[in-house]
Amino acid sequence: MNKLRIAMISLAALFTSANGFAQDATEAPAQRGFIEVKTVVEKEQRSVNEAGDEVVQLVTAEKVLPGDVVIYTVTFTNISDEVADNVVITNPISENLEYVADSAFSPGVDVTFSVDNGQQFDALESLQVERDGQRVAAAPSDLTHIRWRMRGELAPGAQGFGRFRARVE
Amino acid sequence: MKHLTTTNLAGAPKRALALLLGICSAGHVSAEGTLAGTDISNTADVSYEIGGTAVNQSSNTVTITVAEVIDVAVVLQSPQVAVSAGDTNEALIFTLTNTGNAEEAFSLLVDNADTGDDFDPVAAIPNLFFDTDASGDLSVGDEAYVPGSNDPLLAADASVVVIVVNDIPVGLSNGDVGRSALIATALTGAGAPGTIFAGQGTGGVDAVVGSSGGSASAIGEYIVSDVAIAIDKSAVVVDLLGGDQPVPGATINYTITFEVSGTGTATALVFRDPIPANTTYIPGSLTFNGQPLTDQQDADAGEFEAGVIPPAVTVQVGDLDAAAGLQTVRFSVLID
Repeated sequence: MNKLRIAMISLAALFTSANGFAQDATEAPAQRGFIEVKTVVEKEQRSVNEAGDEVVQLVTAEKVLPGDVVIYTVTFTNISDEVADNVVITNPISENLEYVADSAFSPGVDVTFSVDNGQQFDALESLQVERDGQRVAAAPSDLTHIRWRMRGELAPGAQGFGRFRARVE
Repeated sequence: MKHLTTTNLAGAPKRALALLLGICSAGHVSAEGTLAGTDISNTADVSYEIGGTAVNQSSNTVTITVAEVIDVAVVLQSPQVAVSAGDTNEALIFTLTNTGNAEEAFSLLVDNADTGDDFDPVAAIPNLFFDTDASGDLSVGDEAYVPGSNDPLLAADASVVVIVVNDIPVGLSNGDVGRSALIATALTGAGAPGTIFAGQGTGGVDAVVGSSGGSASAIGEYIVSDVAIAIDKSAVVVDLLGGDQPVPGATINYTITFEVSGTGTATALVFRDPIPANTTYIPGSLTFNGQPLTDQQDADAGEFEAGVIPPAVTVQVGDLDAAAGLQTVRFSVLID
């Protein structure tokens, strides 16, 4: 009897979880695993408040214009009861976006970049590209991927995030 | 530890659209980037080890859509056009460029009512043409613009040459300037930058007015540049007795001065003066602005044309404008 009740509660929990996804129908759902990873894209909305001061708010970006700066935030949470090691988040930088220099921010994390579609990663200042037949230092517009690597472990329940800004070309 | 490379789901390639309408490419005006309607999708990947097992998984996918920017540029290509009062069908050449990020049609309008000029050009009928034959100027094969019928439809970045044609009124003075402006306005809409036309962009995205306000203009100029040449000829007779009697054996020293007035340039000007009957040109007597000129047709500008009837002296003056001032030719003849 007791066992059956537990099984029913579990089933109910599963249902709730499924419904939770159904509400996000417009987005491809995140894969479930030991770490929950969620991406949001926002843009700055500038307005003037009642005191006459300019206020900058982050609002969800859906429609953008060339030249707009958008902010990607990838949040990762260890939803398991085990410690996760070597947590690495890799995020593409679309060809229609230009990474805003020095905007990759993340506490306790090493940030590297790729200029070859994610094959190799290195610090921005170490990356080179070929331009007009010459090897030159990579520019922000050359970047194809950004990678955040956690220096330490991610304890159960702990959360980290990586963030960068990009300009719509 | 290996990592998955991530998906990059951006939609249309950058600036993929080429030209519509058989239009030349934009020269000096740059468009505003990613095409309207492009979806920019992003999925992050995470990899980690847990309990000694390597795991790869993906985040949700977020997608942003690039809205349409309405922008346009009009650039005058003609230098100031020199005209005379009463001229007809004088052309001004403009380029119209779609500097937005989506296909857009534009209406065209000519405004001749500038108040800062000296006269208003009069619109020819019709007064707007496309440079259909790409000649760079008004020619027979050029298609006339009919508002609402053949409004130029330009892909992002594309441009078209537009020819504005005006007549020049009579009764104008030298140096008078008349202005004629070409105005192009996006058909989707114009207004203050940032104005949104919801759902009216290409493919149903929002269209947003860009920095041009969705309308642009450029002003061309006509200048009345008539040229007048004033000539004065004088003669001094010196007879053999030191007097001034025009008798056989006397010398006539001719001095001819001329100058250009007006704002224009007299091009390839040639001075030519026949030797009077019953006189003979004195060889080597031709000078231009004090410089002796040989009688032969050679490197210098002067020549005595002995083989024609009547014989004549000529000076190839070249281009001359008012700034050059007074020009002086001298030569002498003997009375037979």
